[in-house]
Amino acid sequence: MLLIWTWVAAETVPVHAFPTPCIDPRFPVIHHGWILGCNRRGLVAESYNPQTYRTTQLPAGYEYVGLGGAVQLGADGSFSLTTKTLDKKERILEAVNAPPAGNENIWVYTTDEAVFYKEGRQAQSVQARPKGWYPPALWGERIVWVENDGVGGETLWLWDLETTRPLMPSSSPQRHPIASGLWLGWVEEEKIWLGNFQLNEKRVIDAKAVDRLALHNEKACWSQWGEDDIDIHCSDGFVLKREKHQLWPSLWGNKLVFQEDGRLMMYQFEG
Amino acid sequence: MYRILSVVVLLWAVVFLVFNENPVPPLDVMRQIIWVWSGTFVCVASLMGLGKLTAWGFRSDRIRWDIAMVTGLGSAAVLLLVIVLAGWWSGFTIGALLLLGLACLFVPTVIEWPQIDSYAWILITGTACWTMLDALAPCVDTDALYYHLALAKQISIRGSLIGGFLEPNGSRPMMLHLLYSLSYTLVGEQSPAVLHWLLSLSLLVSVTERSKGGIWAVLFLVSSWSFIQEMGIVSNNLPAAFALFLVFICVEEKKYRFAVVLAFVALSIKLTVIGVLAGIWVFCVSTVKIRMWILVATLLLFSVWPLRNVWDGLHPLFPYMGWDEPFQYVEKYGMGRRIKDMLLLPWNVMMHATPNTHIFQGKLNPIVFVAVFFTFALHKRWIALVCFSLFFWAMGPQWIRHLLMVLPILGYMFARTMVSAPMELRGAVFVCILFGLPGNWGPLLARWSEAWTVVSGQVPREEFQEEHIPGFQALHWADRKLPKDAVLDLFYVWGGSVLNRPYRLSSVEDHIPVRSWIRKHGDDSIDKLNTEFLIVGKPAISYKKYSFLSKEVYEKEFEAPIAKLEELLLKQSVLVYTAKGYRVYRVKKSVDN
Repeated sequence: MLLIWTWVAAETVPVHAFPTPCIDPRFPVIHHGWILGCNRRGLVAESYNPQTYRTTQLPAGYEYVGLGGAVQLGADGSFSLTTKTLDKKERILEAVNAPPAGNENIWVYTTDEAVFYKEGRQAQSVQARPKGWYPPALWGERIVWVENDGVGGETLWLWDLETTRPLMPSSSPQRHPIASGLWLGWVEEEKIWLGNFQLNEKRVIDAKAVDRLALHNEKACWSQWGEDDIDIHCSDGFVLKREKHQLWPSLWGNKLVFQEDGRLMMYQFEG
Repeated sequence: MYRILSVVVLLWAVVFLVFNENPVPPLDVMRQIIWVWSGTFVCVASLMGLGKLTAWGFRSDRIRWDIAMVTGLGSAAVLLLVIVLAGWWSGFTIGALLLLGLACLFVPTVIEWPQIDSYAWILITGTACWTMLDALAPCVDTDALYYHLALAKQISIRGSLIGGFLEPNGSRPMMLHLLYSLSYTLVGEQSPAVLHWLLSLSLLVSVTERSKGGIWAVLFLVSSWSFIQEMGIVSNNLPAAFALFLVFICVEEKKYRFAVVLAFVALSIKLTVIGVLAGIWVFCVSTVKIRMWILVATLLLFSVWPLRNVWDGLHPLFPYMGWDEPFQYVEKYGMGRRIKDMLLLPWNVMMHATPNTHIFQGKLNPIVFVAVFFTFALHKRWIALVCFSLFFWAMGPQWIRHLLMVLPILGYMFARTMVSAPMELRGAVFVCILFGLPGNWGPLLARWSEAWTVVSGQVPREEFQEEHIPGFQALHWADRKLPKDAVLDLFYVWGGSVLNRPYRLSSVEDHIPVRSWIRKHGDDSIDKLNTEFLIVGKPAISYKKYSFLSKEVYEKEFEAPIAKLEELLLKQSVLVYTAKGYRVYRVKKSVDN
């Protein structure tokens, strides 16, 4: 019985709550156990909890939203999925060029000329040339973002609220930084980097990620070309191999959400 | 006394404009408007000078202002063609050409200026004020974005002509676009629209003056959405119609040398004029000998464009021909092509045409239908010309903007009949025009009101463009963030003129350049481009629009290239930006999948 339950739990299932693809291919995404998906116009407007089957409407539709302790809606403020309340204190009025990122009470975001660190109403910033589109990562109290390298590629920079510097100089483009707890991950041309600043631990995985990196604590997953199509690979050696392409993975706890042939799918890891 | 009073009133107006607390538009916007206007007026004055020179070359001691303008346009474009082919394109050389045109204003040939009644002037001035808003607002018209303004910018940026399978729009006859490029280079991005607006207003004045029909020609033309909406955007329909109208006038006045030059200009602006031109040639030219002379002389002048294509290794009539599929599926437009549909076409085009659908792509005032019957009271050759032109139009894609070629001629004939029409008929015609106005002007009132918000500086230009140009954010981002020397390739994207750098592919009729490229090169489509960055749009393609094709043909020609491109993008490139469904990719340097 337990074996059957484990097999059922590990099955990939379609998520019917969001039949319409989003304008921004990075959505839908799973965050704090909620899947943020789109309305018929392709705008992020609703969240769905696959465990409780509850849905929550966002105040409006957005091309993209920021992910942190709550959902960052720019000039509208931040929206808590659990309490369904809008916090206008956390409004971001600058012209952001990428989705903000954050944790319980801090938001970090980028504009074309600066990187911002905002705690409550207080914000501080540093001049930079963020490339935009890629959300910055809040890694402890450090901010990592994609800087325009001026020659068509991307370089990761770090701001520890005192100084800014390249995170790890490289001749290859560095993109899709993502932080989860103490871990930071990003994609390079043919590598995936994972780093923990407290343990001073670094892992490099040889992989050619197709799109972005999904990260939950030390576990990372990404899409990668197999023999015939694109499958999802994870840093613990797990491979989700199915027909057609599996793209744009996002990870939260033991749930992996991804897009397959225009449909939203979810895979639940065992345990 | 009155003179002093006039000066005082004018001074007071200037004082108000400068010192009132909330000047609308603000002073910096006004400075820009004044610069664009004055610069473009100088360009037009230079064209008039070159027109005088042409008349002087033809040993004419007098030339009508409209003929001077359009022949000057032709002369300037030919000189620009020489400059660009010789590789001499620069601000200095085209500035010198401008000065040459201005110097030619001193040629002894006399220009005869327009003389029309004051009511017509008032109507034309009113039209000018409304349509000016389109000309001064940022360009958002699709045809201007991928074709008219885009080519002007590309010629100016590269200092050379463009063309071939990767840039098929540039292989069309480029007469008007060379002039747009001149005004863009010397005056700025808004100048081609203002130049087009001036040419369109000139067409209005010309038809009004030539018809001697007072306000009727103006009312006839501006009451149709398709005519008035074109006036302030960058396009080639009305300049081509202007040249064609003057061909008709010159043939009627038996000024055949000018008719040849003007026919060359009309054909070199837009090949669609060929139907009406053939009608004028067959029905209005008096003798076979003159007909042959006109035909040979016009074709000889026009041959410069097909020869250029042959030199480039293309079909002489590329991009209209020379693809591995039809350039245009005419069945996609209109409301059917069976005999019954053709018989119902006049009704359908009047009743079912709307500005925002693909069916007829425009809207006409009901008076146009009436005007066709009014020609029956005129010369037989004119009846034949109108019927032939309408028949030719019906055989094409049935776009109302193609009807604009014959509309000024029809307006001329209509106004001529109205001069002697009894009062009851005039009243009925006026009511007919009036009843057609809500459907024709209604959609424009909202557009002009929105244009005013941006012209007056209340709404930033970028915000306006972002709202109205599909893919603007992605194009603008790529223009600012990607290396300055990187050439971009545009797949299923129309808004090329947003870019201030060279680009390739983009789109024309049914995205034929990209579909053809992908079908031809298959798995090597991205490799063969040897490109660094791609911008990919959202092709709005569905079988509903192509139900006249078999499912297999549709899948092969439309769906398969899209699927192939998506597959190649996943293998060979990295997504670096998206906005509103438009995507920017960087092509991977090493691909081994």
